Amino acid sequence: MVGVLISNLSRMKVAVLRHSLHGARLEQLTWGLVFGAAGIAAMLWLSLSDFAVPGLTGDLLAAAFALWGLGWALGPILFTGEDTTLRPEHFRSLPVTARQLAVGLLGASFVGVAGLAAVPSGYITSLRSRPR
Amino acid sequence: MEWRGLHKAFGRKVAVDHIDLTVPTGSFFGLVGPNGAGKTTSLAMATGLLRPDGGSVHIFGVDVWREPARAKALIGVLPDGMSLPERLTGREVLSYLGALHRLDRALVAERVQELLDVLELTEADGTLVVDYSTGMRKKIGLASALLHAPRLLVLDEPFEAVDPVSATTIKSILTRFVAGGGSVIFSSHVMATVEQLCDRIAVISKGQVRAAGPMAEVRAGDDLEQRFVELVDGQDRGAEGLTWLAS
Repeated sequence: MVGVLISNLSRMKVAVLRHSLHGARLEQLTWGLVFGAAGIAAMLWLSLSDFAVPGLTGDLLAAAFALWGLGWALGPILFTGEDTTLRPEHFRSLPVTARQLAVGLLGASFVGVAGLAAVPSGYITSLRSRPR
Repeated sequence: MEWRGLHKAFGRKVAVDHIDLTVPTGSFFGLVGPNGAGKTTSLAMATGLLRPDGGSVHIFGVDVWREPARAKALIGVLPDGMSLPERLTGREVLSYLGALHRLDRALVAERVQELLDVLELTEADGTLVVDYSTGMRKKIGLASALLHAPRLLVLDEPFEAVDPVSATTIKSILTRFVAGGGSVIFSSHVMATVEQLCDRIAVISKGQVRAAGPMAEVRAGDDLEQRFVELVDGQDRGAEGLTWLAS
């Protein structure tokens, strides 16, 4: 059931994003992309830098990635307002448990600017965060 | 559907006060009551949307709060102020909900088309839900309640904000549904609609059942509206005061 939830909720998210490709929503989306790209570039730069303290680069990257993750998880909760993508209350009448729905929505949350940006930034972090 | 000792309080205010109610299979059941009587609260608890403080609800023998997923599969729900994904068209919302009910893709497409046709929502195909009128949202909500062909419909104010033509359509859909062996319980404060459609009725006020049973029994030979005012011991206050209004 969780598989059905994740795949369909992700497809819904794609449809929502497709409908957002105009007007004020497009502007918002573009800023999201610019911000995401800037964040990745900053992390890339950080990963290539070396500091006097050994291991500091990895720690900084990990901290930046944690901050990113925190913003991604808490952002939609703190700044509800305009964002009307997919919310649990849209699916409360479905014959699924709250836990299944939560997992489904978590899966679908990877579809989007923040979710996509998490992949390269996570990879960059992993490059320099290995224990030495 | 069976409610036993259903209870809910918000802080000090008791919204639903130990209600017992039976909706027999095959009945067309009207739940009426004045504003703030507890209709919406009790329907939300009966459909697994709001956790009761006490009591139980069984749908075709399934305990709603023990096995919510199993119970929800059996019913179609139109909740109060239904929340829909705003940035999708009506057809998309219904299609994805159908898929989430694990219905076959072709079957979903066929049913969605039929529902959009019958409810006259086809012209809304290219419009996002965010731009829908209240009545259109209600119709999409109703379509989503019907989509998986449930055996019991639980509808909170299905006729509110719908135009008369759509209301007639909805009435005939529901009548056909009951004639085909389905059961319906809906809340309303339009007595004429309830009187026209329902074979059973419950009058609730201040969180308690004032009267419940077959329509003729509750009406007791009176006009339903008259009887309703008597039961909820409201008085017609329209004749007093407001003298400045007529001058």
